[in-house]
Amino acid sequence: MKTFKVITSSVCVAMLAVAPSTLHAGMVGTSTLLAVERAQVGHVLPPAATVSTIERAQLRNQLEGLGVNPVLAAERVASMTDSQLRQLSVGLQEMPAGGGALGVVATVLVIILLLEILGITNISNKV
Amino acid sequence: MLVASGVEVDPQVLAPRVYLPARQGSLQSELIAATRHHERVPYVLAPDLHALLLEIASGTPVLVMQNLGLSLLPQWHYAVVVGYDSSADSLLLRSGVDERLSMSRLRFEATWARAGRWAMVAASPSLPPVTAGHADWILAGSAFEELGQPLLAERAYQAATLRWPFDVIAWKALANARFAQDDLRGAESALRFAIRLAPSAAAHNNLANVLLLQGCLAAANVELDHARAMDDAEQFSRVLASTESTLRARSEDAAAGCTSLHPSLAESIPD
Repeated sequence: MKTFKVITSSVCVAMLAVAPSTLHAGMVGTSTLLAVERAQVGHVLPPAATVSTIERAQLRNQLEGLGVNPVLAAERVASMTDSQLRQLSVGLQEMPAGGGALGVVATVLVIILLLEILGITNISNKV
Repeated sequence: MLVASGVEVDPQVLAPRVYLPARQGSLQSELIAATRHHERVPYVLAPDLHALLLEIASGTPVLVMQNLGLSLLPQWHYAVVVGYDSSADSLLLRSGVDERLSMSRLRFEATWARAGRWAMVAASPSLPPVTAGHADWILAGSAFEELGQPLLAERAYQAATLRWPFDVIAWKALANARFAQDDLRGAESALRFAIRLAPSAAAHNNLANVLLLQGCLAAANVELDHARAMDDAEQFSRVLASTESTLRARSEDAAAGCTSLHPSLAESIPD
């Protein structure tokens, strides 16, 4: 059983390693590095395949179906990573959609910005 | 600096990016994407109150999802936890129109648990949250790499190397982000450090690529040999083969260039 698990992880890693990426063909990308580490500590590897253009288009249609303006739907899909898209395309209808986000998300972002502007967290000259 | 960089957050601007009219709410994934859009790293906290309180104590507001209804008749709701009053054992929330809502810890925990204890902070790429784990932080940063913003990924990875200087993945990730911005010298230096910490087939292979793009073919060959000799070489066999073929093509080009340079140059000069 353990052997089987080890074999599956190396197969997945091998698939991940050749998955199309923006990176140079011969380079081992960051997602692969993380997947390898997770496989070593016993985590389940994420699915290797990248999300196709068709899947992106399908999700865009789904968003439009839920009342999102087509131009914005395309933008919103473009701002998501493959793993997010994979989650959304299976669970868009069931995923919890919370109210009250508009005011509070701005709060989370604005408070951080204020802290930075006031120099309290001194983030800008940290590195 | 941030004012100059033009970062501003207006709920009216945010709304069209996160709101789903037919569901009358927003999905967690879209809040995560919107956070990235504002050049912040969306970091989802470990699902326990301890982590949440540590973030609050460090001065970081935490976005949470609550279920104010019942499990069977859910009423999903977002709020921001901005404080904790230990004497009253209550949390201070910004929730809906209420800018200062005090909620007992027990009530908060019940509503939060019904929403899967989801909590997220919007961190500056240069400052990992206090409760961040190295792999989860790097994963959060790698989304910027995937979305074609390697500069933000680089800042997140650089911060990781400062917080966890002996974490070898942070250095390899930093090299990838620099490579994506054509900073070959920067990528080389990060990879050499990673190899000193813990040699691996991936690091040697990536260094071989960085060197060959700098025209250092002999040194690239040496690194590729090191990569092949590593214990974990087998799982990267296809990447190693790809590096090898690029290297061979480059070597042939270089060799061809050396022999053909003189005759072609002579031919191109008119009499």
